[in-house]
Amino acid sequence: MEDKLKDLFDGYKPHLGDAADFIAGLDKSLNSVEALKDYRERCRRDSRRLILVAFLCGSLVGSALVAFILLRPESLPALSWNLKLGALSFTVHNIEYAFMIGVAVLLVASAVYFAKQRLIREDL
Amino acid sequence: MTRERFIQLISAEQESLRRFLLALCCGDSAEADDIAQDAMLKAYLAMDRYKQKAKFSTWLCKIALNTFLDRRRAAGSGLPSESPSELKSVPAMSTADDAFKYQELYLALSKLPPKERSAVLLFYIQGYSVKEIANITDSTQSAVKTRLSRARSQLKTLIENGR
Repeated sequence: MEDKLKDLFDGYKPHLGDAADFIAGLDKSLNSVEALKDYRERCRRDSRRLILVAFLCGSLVGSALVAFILLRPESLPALSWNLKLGALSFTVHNIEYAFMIGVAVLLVASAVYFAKQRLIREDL
Repeated sequence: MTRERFIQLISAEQESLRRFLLALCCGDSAEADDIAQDAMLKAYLAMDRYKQKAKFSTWLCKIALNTFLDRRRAAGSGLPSESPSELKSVPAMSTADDAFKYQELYLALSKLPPKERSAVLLFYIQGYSVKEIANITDSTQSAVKTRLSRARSQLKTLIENGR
């Protein structure tokens, strides 16, 4: 029986589709894979650039904010951490600082947003 | 490895792999070629993990076999087909000559569970040793021997009953 099976499989020479067509199909799929790999790599690079932009903007705006707080004008009351009067009182007392922190966050977010928009435009 | 080199290697291996997959898919050439393409794409994406000391054909065969088994699992048809009518795709997808010529073989193979079918085809069509089959199928040599012997006796019964 062993021989019979061997003969059976030795004689197995089925007709296969055209090899050139098969390789052409594979080549086409490889092109798609390459395009996807490129896109993924670009996304990874873009996100690294965005993180860098956010870090630089955050450092810059944060440093400016700290410098401003330390070198504040005489007319501006000092930042108070006294929470005894409650959250509302805290906000009222530090409204200028809250505003500045809000502006700083807005600046960083805008920088990241515009950097992202620029990367999208570059992709197109 | 460059893409050109990969295509070169694939061109050399495609015929043997497609023949093996055609038998594994019991004559369904569309499914066999689909699995072959799928396996080659997987191989291309995993080229970094390919160790040069292993034979490219063995590595590719392992990927193709796993792709086939994954598909069977996903389709929930890990069991051998019960009815010869499941071979309805043979005449439609192979050439009519092949379908007729190998009908008996495909019918017998379709009755074997995928793991036994793959063991017997790796042994007889691809010409791998028991050790290589064990490596390809991630199993022990004794498990491969058991599968081969079970598949042989099942094939014997099926082919003799078919005559």
